Amino acid sequence: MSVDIHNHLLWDIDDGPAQQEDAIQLAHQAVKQGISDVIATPHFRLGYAQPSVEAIKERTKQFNKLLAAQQIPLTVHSGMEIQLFADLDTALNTNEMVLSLNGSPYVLIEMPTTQIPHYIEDLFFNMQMRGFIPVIAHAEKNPPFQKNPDQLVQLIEKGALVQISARSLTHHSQRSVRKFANQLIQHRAVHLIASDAHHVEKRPFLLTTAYKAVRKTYGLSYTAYFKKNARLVLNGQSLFIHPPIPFNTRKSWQVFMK
Amino acid sequence: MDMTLDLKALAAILFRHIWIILIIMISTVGMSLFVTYQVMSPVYEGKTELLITTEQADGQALPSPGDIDSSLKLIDTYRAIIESPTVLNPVISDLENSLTIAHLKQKMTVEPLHDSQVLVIKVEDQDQKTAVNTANLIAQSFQKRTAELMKLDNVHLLSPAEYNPDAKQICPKPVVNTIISILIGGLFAMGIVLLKHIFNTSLSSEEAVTTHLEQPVLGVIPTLPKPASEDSISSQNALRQQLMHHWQDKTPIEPYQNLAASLLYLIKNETLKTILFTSPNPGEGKSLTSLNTALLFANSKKRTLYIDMDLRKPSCHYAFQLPNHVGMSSYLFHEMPISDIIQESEIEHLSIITAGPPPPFSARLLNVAKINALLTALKDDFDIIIIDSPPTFVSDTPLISGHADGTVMVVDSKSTRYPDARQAIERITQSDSKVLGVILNNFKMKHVQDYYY
Ligand SMILES: Nc1ncnc2c1ncn2[C@@H]1O[C@H](COP(=O)(O)OP(=O)(O)O)[C@@H](O)[C@H]1O
Ligand SMILES: [Fe+2]
Ligand SMILES: [Mg+2]
Repeated sequence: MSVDIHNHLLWDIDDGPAQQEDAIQLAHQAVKQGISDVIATPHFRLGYAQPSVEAIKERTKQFNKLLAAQQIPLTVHSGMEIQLFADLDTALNTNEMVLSLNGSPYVLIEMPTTQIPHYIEDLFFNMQMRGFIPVIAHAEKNPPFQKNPDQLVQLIEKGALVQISARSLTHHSQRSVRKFANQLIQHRAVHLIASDAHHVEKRPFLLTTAYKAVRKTYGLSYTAYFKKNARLVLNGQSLFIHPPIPFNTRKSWQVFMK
Repeated sequence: MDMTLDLKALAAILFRHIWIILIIMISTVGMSLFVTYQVMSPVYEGKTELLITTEQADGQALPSPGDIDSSLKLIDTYRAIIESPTVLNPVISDLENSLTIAHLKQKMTVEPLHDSQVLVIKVEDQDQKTAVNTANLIAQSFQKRTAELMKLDNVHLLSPAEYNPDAKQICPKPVVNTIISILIGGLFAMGIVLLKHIFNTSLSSEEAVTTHLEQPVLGVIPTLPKPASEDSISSQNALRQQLMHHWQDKTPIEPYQNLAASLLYLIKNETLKTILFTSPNPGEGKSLTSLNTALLFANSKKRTLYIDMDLRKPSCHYAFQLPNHVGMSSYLFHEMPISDIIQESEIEHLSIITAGPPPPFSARLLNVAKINALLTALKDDFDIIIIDSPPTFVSDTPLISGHADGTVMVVDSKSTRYPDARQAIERITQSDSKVLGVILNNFKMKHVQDYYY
């Protein structure tokens, strides 16, 4: 039984399912993919998409009741996918505006797509000093990281964890994205895999499909590592990482000189 | 560097590099042979001998033959005549090639044969026939001119130049060139080897450590083999593999045991508790060495605490596969209580404080008082505290070492230069910390030197 820590399962809150029925369909799909627990992570974008903490918690409760009534073996927990903003560390402290993943120290963060802001180092450090651990959402789809993957490696060295989308490891995604996602795994720059499911057909749960792909390419220990980490995040327990291998985006002759 | 090399040591150094010397010598010989046979063209010689009699045709004596001075003058006179255009111009026109007089003069020499009255005219040319021909023409022209000009008939052609198909070239001389090239090559090669020795600043032996650093060698750690990995995810974690490979077999390798033993001896005799590991440069083995030492102390049932104080390049959480979200930095920068940052390792009697999230540039000043407070607070809970630190040139290191009971300097026998190591030791000493000694890491056991000492 696996845990999915990033998806948009709650209806009528963000760009996830519009109707309750769509959400139920998604829940069925999750169960088929061998998932027992999901952390629903609606988008939080400061200024234009700010679902309230209460609304999310309320919808989660409602959903769990519904699932129990329909005997769907799935438990929903609440969280958020928070688009990065400079005051995130203080916002987390006050605990009113944003949510971590299931009340754990882990905070799912959507990075800006244009550039990695200069304050990131201080922000991540301050978050960790206050007991929060940044988790970078679908890093493989972020252009700054695609351009310079060592930026991601450096953030890992500063204590950030990296989540990639299950879809990026399957044939449903572009070849280039698939290639980059695999490169990140090879460089030990991935710690979590999650579905980021939005819709039964357009953006479905593909978690088990992705785990199978990982097992086929990298072996069982890798799959076990990812699965275990997702559960540790759900339970708010700490996890260890392997040292990331820098990409060394240097000119080839410099590599030669080494 | 001690510059007095005795002959035996000198011979040993040269012999150790015998291959370099031989290779350089062989290549200089090869080069000289190539130049001799391929680049330089052979030069042949034509030689005529003329006898100048002292008596005139009418029997009157010339200046007395005993008068050396005047006889020398006479030779000079004849030489000047031979080299004059009057003699040489007809030669050139006879030769029918566009030679100038200056050119011809360069190719010829006129010398008396051992102070006698025999004059030798030598002409060099790349073609033997031309050389012979020219020498003869000069002799004839000279004979004719003296007769005409001085009305003298005292020049006799003693032996004309002759063409000899077996004649050897006079230049270049392969044997001479080869001997010279062997000498030059040998001297050059020995020079290089000695210079290399004089400027060799590596700490490649225990002797080098004791002479250059004036510190005891606490341990010599050989270059460990890279263990093959069965597990794809933890491969590349060289530190953990090298640490755990030996450890999981319960056969920690002997060099670390020797190191731990000599440290233990110091600890007992001088009542030390906190030992800091540092090195002049990054990557010289501070972490691997300190981790192994800590493991051995724990194994001998000493309550051991390992603190990763290399906040910028932490590694012990990778080695022990521990989370690093809280650690030393949480205590130093966020008032986290000491008890919250201590983790238990997978090894009995070994507790760990990981480095914690690396502080950004804006928060890099170490609060030394807090480090001191931590060490003081933990002194009673542990028998030994091992501290892994940044390289010595980082400003943190002397600050931390000032609060440790002793510091050990890890040097890499392949890459550490002793001036760097000496500077590092000085920095530590200036921070009022005691340097316990040096660990010679990454030592190549099959060193050629081993055969000599
Ligand atoms: N004696 C040795 N033999 C082989 N590899 C070594 C040895 N000492 C260190 N290493 C390797 O060199 C790398 C750097 O060592 P590390 O202890 O991390 O250095 P530092 O802490 O001084 O930066 C590590 O990958 C380690 O496994
Ligand atoms: Fe998402
Ligand atoms: Mg280190």
